[in-house]
Amino acid sequence: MTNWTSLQKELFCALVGLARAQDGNEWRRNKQTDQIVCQSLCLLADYPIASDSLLQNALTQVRAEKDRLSPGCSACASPCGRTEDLSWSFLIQESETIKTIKRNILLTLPYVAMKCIIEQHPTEIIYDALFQIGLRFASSEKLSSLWANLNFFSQLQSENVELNNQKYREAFEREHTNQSFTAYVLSEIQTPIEDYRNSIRLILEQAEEHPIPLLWLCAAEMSIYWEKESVNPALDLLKSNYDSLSHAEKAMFHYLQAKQIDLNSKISKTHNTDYRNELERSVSFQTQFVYNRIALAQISSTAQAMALYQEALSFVHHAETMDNK
Amino acid sequence: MMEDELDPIIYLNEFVLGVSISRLQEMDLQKEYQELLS
Repeated sequence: MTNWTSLQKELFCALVGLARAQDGNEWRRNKQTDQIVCQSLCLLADYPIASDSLLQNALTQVRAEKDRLSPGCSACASPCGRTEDLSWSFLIQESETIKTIKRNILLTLPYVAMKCIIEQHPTEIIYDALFQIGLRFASSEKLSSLWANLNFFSQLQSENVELNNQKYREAFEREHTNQSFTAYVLSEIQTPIEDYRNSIRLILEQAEEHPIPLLWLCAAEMSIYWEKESVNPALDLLKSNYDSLSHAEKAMFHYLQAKQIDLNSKISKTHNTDYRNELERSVSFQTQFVYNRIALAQISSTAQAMALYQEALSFVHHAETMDNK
Repeated sequence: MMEDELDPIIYLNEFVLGVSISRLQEMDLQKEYQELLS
């Protein structure tokens, strides 16, 4: 139904329990409840991935809040089940139609929660959605209508991206700084704009006025991934400025060179010496880099591949540990 | 949130370096590694 970890599922099920506990107890619900619900839902977004400790902490808060809303329930000798947490297996057993709508609602909720936090929007729709997801006999009409309302939020989100893109473009037109240029070209590739071609074009056109190797690396990757052409001017740019690149930038350049070589070549990776050489050079910089090691492992002997995988996996960390989200 | 996303490092960490990937992608790499071990 989702790619969530068991802890994320447990947190979601507890949130449904909390939504059940507030039903009929709305007078006990306060800003703290809204904050706990919204912040917990944000931890279920695809990006950034929340750490287990954050999820565990949210789960504890959700359960404590549920106890506050319905104090008798946890100690009740004959529980009626009204405020019980959701059972994940119940969702899986639903009919295909209901399962699809509930899945869509479930995956949108984290973004609606973010919006509620940022724009201080009323949270009623969130409690309603959590409650409806937990209903055994929820009607598909009611769920579809709820989904339409949540979609409305998503559209507002898209409008925001486009408005911000316009804002960044105007800021860049007013003042040609590296910072305003970076913000503008990267806002071009955000969903739902995703104008990779224009972003690449701008980065190349402004290479002299805004010589930013990190952006050239982005453009080189976008060109390989999206354009799939035999020429990659961003790589040429990096090559002619090679001596001024940092070690980390050089490692990325050689890795992207390898990818471009593979894109242009008809020889298999295993037999392509140029491809291997570029990957080996990339790895030789000893920087924290996962994909160059994985790519090299895939064309190496088992013993070497194991060592490369081990090293690569030690470099993986999740978004929230990188920027303290 | 918007400001963070507009940093080239965020893009490169995810799409070039692979140091900031989803748990699912990490699980795939772990699986490939386990297959090498067996």
